[in-house]
Amino acid sequence: MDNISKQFKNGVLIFKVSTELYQKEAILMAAHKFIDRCYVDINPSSEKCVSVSLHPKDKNLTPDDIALEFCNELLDQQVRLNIEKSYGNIRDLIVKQAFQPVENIRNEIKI
Amino acid sequence: MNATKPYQLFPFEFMRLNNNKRLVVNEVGEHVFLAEEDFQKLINHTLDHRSSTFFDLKAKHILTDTAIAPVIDMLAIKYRTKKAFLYNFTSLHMVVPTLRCNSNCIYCQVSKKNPDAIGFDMDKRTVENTVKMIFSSPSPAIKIEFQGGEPLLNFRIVKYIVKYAEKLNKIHGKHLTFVICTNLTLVTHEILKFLKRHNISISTSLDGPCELHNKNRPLQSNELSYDRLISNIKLARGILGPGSVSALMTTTRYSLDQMKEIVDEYVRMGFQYIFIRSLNPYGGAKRESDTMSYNMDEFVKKYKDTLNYIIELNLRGTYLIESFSSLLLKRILTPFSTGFVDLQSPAGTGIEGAVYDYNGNVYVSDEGRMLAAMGDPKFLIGNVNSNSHKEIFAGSKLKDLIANSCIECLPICCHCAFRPYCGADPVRNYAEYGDILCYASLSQTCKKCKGILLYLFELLQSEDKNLNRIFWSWINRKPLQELPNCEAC
Repeated sequence: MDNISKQFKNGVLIFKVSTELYQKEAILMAAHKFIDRCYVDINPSSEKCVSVSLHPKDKNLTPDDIALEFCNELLDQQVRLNIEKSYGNIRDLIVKQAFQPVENIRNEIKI
Repeated sequence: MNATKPYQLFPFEFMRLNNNKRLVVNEVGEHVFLAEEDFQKLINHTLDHRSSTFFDLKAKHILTDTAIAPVIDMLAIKYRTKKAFLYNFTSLHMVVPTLRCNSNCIYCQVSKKNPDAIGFDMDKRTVENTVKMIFSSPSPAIKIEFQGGEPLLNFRIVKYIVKYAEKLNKIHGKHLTFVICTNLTLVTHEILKFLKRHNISISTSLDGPCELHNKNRPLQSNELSYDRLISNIKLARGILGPGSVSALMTTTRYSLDQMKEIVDEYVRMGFQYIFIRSLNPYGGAKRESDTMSYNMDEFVKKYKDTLNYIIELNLRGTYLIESFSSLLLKRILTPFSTGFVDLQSPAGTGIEGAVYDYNGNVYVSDEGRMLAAMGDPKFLIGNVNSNSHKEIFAGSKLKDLIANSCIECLPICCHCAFRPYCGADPVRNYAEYGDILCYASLSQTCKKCKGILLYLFELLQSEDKNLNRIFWSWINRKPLQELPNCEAC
């Protein structure tokens, strides 16, 4: 399948997102950003695909704009997850070192 | 350092801007604007080591090609500095000497009582227990702020609180300051002389020019408040000094078309600060929201126009600071911690400020008291007459509230590029949609802060030297002519 496909049916935008490219967390985080403008429904569609339905609350919202924004958001969320991995435990160590400093931080770094 | 990568990335958040650029912000709020191409190179580890972008990112601790541990140490020091507001625990103590009020503001958020109502004044036992509770705070600095009702309707108790606090402070030796929040309509020479003797500053409300102020803030006696307010501001300045009176404004629907006039009124009255504040969803403002409220997009648009006008005035030589932008700019452009109870992470509720009602009830914030006045005591954390400091300020209720207000751990907020400048207001969240957690997509506060922050970053991105000097003059609280001629400002 395509990494992402979309369809506009009965006022609802339906995306089929490949979980081979996008992690479940990225899909959830991207969809969550739309809860102010849309009713959101997420379901497993097949083994390697998740279906995300966005039902706009306001009829004036154009499906094209929502679709473009969702695709960008999905990509950004996946990029976030990817780079988060590269930090290892650095974020936790910054906070730990700020409030409860450890003697040799070098030994604590796990990347 | 990972042998396969030429540099190590450090935690940062990012957002797309309209001009095909990305805003990249590190864990402590240092930021860089990146062209899309450079952003892609950054995350793919293909940035040229000799490029100015690389050096800029390295200087902001977003990446390093040297040892990692010293960078973590540096970021930890900066993180600790940003969170310095946590060190001292509660320093702002708002005391309500009476719930009676002679004002009849259309948005009244505290469910005030009539001026002659009985049973809504703080008594001496409650005063003593309140002041003792205040001095139990570990904070070396204590600010007691008199709220209302109208505190001047029970000035006898205000005086008692001041004298009792000063007496206790002879033992505690804290940095003790007082502020009285008053509509100023009842102030007299005698009251002002007392305020001067005890170094008490005045915070009043001025909603704009005569007609607008009278519409928003009439008196209960059907009298108009504006003329009395203006003449008493002058009287107070005459006795207490020119900088002794500050003012706050509240934006109603009636204000939206008069924002320039409101600013002009502040300039005409010689104020150096104006805080363009939106309506809070409590009390009268919530009950009458159909007539006086507006949506947040509308407010943000008006806010931006008004900010532009204030900047224009500054460029023409009139020194006037917009307080909310000034606060955000200090968070964006300096490494320092800033005090603002409504926008901290964890929230400042209870641990930065607390409210002591006339009957001894303690609330985590003034808004918590407002909700209680509307019948929901969710944010009541104890009573000075029956609970200890430990029971109130180390109780499970406050701990739960604080633990749930760290935006670093909340969905959407945790990945927001504006996170280092923002904060949580669990009371406001609860008032808006019935849950203390911040649901960024549903929160009106988020909409407001995001809109304003985005605009400030657009202005910063323009790299306009004159504009930057104005921003630094706001951050430093100094008129342009008193700023040094340096590259940064």
